[in-house]
Amino acid sequence: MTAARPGDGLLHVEALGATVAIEVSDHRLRGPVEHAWSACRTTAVVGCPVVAAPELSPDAGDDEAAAALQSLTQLVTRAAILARAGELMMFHASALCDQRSGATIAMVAPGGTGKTTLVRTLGPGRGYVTDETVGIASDGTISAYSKPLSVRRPVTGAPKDEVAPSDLGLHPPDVRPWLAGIVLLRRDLEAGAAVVVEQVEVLDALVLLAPETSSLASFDRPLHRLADLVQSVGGLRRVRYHDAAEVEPVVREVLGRTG
Amino acid sequence: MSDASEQVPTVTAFMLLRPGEVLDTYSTEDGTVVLVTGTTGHRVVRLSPLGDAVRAAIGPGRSLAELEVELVSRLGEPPVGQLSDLVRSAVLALLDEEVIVAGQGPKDDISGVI
Repeated sequence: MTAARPGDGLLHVEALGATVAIEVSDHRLRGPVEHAWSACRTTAVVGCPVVAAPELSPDAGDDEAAAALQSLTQLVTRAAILARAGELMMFHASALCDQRSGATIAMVAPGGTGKTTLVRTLGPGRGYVTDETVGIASDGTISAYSKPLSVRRPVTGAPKDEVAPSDLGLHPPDVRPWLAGIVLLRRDLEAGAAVVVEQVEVLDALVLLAPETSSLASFDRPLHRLADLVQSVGGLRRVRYHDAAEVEPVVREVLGRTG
Repeated sequence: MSDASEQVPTVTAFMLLRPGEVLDTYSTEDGTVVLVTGTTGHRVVRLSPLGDAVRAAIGPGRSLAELEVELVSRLGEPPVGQLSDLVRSAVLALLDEEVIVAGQGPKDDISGVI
């Protein structure tokens, strides 16, 4: 990763409140990258971190291009997390906000367990904050990361598609998001079972949330910081479900909060 | 199936037990969790009541034998079971989580303790 210079033809995106420059040297990727990252585009910042999109082989097909875009997303995410370490409490989570109040629900879950599906299902009409990493400042405000959604294909082992939010009917927040609630997702119920919402005691919350944070140890008294954050929004709740649509009442309740 | 390369912690009566690298401790009336810097990165560990007592009693460093004496003076004999068995079990769990570490050095050598 290097630092950007002015006027060097880079694509600049905002991720977790940091500006990251993307260098796309392969012309075949330029258009797809610009489209996929359209919700994050921002103005250039001198000296911001630069990540390079992978180059494609001469006879690259769709899968190779998709893998390159997926790899680029991971590079941008890593650069943004590195840039905000010690400033934002960052969770592996998806998030949606109310477009008028900015009230936001952070839905924490490990990779591959339904975060993207949830925001695709429940996001239209709401602010799409992220499907990957939620970054929360000490005052509770959230730096959005309206990245391309990483959409799994039906074929096992195939690369995910990096899809622009607008292609899925999603829009970035209109107002500054702030944390109104935090839940831990567990997609472990059988079809037809009623959603289970459980309050998690604070010590267990620390044990469950810590593995889903980035750079937790960068903070002074990190456990106290994390506990204060969780308690500021009424504690952690674990949501056990089968279908994403069944989480709607939980999302609606949290986005209706006024602070 | 266990991995042959996994190291099962063992402890002898006179092995020095010391605090691991604990970045933060958070306690409520329900218990204590610690943030540990281990060989595989950071992790949060919830301590059992006896585990918390063991951690506190170790101080900058004690042998298992000394630890048992110290815990009897702090907690008294347990209503059920042998204290030495309970303490050994708690120590092994704490070693496994790297909340404490064991070394072979003399007791007054606490180099590396932060």
